[in-house]
Amino acid sequence: MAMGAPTTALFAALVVAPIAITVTYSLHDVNFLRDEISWVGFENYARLWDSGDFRHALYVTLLIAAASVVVPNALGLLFAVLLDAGSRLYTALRIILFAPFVLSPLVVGLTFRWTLANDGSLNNALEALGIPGPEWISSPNLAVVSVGLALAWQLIAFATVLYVAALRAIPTDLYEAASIDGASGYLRFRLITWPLVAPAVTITTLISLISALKLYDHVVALTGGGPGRSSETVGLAIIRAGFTQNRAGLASAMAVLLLVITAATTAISLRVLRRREVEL
Amino acid sequence: MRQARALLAIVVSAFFLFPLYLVIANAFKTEPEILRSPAKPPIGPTLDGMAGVLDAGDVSGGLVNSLLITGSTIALIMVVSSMLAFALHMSNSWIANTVGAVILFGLILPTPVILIPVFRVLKYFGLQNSFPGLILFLCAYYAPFAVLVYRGFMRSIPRDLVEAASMDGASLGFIYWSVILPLLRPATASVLVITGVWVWNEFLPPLVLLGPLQGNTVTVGLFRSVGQFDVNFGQLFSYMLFVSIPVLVFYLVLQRYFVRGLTAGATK
Repeated sequence: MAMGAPTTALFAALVVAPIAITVTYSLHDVNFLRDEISWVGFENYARLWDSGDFRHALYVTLLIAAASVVVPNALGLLFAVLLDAGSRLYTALRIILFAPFVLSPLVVGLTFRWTLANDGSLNNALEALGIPGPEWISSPNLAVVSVGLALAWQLIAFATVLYVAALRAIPTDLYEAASIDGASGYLRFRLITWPLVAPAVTITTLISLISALKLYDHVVALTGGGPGRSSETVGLAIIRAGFTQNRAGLASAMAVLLLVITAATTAISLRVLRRREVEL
Repeated sequence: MRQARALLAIVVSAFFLFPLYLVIANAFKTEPEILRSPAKPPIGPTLDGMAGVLDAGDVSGGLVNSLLITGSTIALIMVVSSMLAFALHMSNSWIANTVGAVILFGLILPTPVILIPVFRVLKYFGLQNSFPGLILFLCAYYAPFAVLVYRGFMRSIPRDLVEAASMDGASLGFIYWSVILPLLRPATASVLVITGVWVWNEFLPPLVLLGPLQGNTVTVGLFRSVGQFDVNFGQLFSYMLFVSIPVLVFYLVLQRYFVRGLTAGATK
C-alpha cells in the first residue's frame, strides 16, 4: 500500500478532513472575520427548518433532480435508438451531439439566458408561429424550468451517447433469434434492449442526480437565483450564506443536509438499478 | 424511410448544436447584426469581437492560467491515481479495502459542500489564494473518478504478471513504471480527456480558492466580464468561444476515449 500513500494523504487532507470540518462547523456559530467559534448544538439546523428561503431552495433542487433523472434517461434512449446506425453520417452526428456535455456550464447558462430572454431567439420563433412567448427568466416558476432545461440539455447529450454505446454492444443475432421466434418489436425491446442497456441507465441516473444536486454554475449564469430567490438552489444558498453573509455555521448545516441527501439518493438508486443489471 | 430517419437524426443533432452555433456565429458578427438577427450566420465575418476581448485584457491571461492549472492537475491526477489504483489492485489488507471504499465516496461529493473548509485547510498549509493549492484540491477531488477508471481497467491485467516480475527481483515501483503504466495507456487517455474537460470547466473552486487578487481562470474571467462592463455582445460571445475552443478541440481529438472512460466504471 506504500504506493497509495501520497494519494490517500491528499484525499484525506482535502476531501475527508473538510467533510469532518463541515460537520463540526454546522454545530457552531462561526465568524471568520472575528476569528470566533462557539458551540450552538443543533441551532443552525433548527434555523434552516424555519427558513422559508432554504425550504424553497431545497424544493427547487429536488424538483430539478427528479426531472433530471427522468428526462435525460427517456429522451437519451429515444435519441439513441434514432442514432444507432452504422454509417458515417451517424458516427459524425454522435460525435457532434456529445459536444454540449463538454461545454462549460457557464457558457451553456449564458447562451440559454440569451436564447430565453423575453426578446430572445426562442420567443421570436414562437411569435413567428403565432404563439406569445412566456417570460422564461423573469417569471418565478419558469425561471426554475429554464435552469432545469439548461442542465437537461447537457445531460440528454451525455445520455444519448452513452445509450448508443450500450445499444451498439448488443449482438444483432439476439434480435434475429427473437424475430424468428415471433417476438414483436415491443417484446424485443422489453426483453432484450431494456435489460441490456441497464448499465447505461445506472450511469445516466447517477451522473444526472449528482449534477442536479450540486447545481450551481448553470443557475449563476442563467438567472443568478432570481427573480428574487425563486430559482435559488441549495448550492447557491450554501455559497451565499458562507461567503457573502459570512455565516459559515449556517452554510455548513446546509452542506451537511445536501451531503446526506446526495449520499442517500445515490445509494438507493445504485441499489435499485444494479439489481436489474444482467450479464450477457 | 431511410432518408426520413437520417433527416430526423440531423434535425435532432442540429437542435443540440444550436447554443454552440450561437456562440460561434455571433463571435464573428458586429453588435447591430447580433441584436437584429441573432440566429443568422455571420455573412462577411468580422474579427472585432475577438480583437476587442483580447484587447480588453484578461482573456489571454485567463487562458494561460487555465492551461497551466488544467495541465498540471491532470498530469498529477494521472500519476497519483494510477499509483493508488495499482496499490489497491495488489493489496488485500484491511487498509487497502477501507481506502478503496472511502475514496468511492468522493465520486458523489458536491463541491459547494466542502469549499469553505478546503479554504481553511489550504490556509493552514499556507496555500490559500495560490495555484498549487487549487491544483492539489482539484487533484484530490477528481482522483476518485480516475482511480475508478484505472481499477476497472486493471482487472484485465493478471496479477501473475506482476508476481512473475517481482520474483525476478524487480521492485514494485519499477514494475509500476515499466510494466503497468505502459499497459494502462488507454485508461490514461480516458482519464486525461475526461478530467481535463471537467477541470477546465470548473468555476466555483477557482472562484473561491484563488480569490480576487490572483490572476484567475478563464471561466472566472468570463463570469466577471458579464457583470462588470456594459455588455458588448460581440465581445461576450468571443469570450465564450475562447472558453470553449480548447475543450472542444481536446474532446474531438480524444473523443473515442471519452465515452469509453465514462462507461469503464460501470462494466463489472
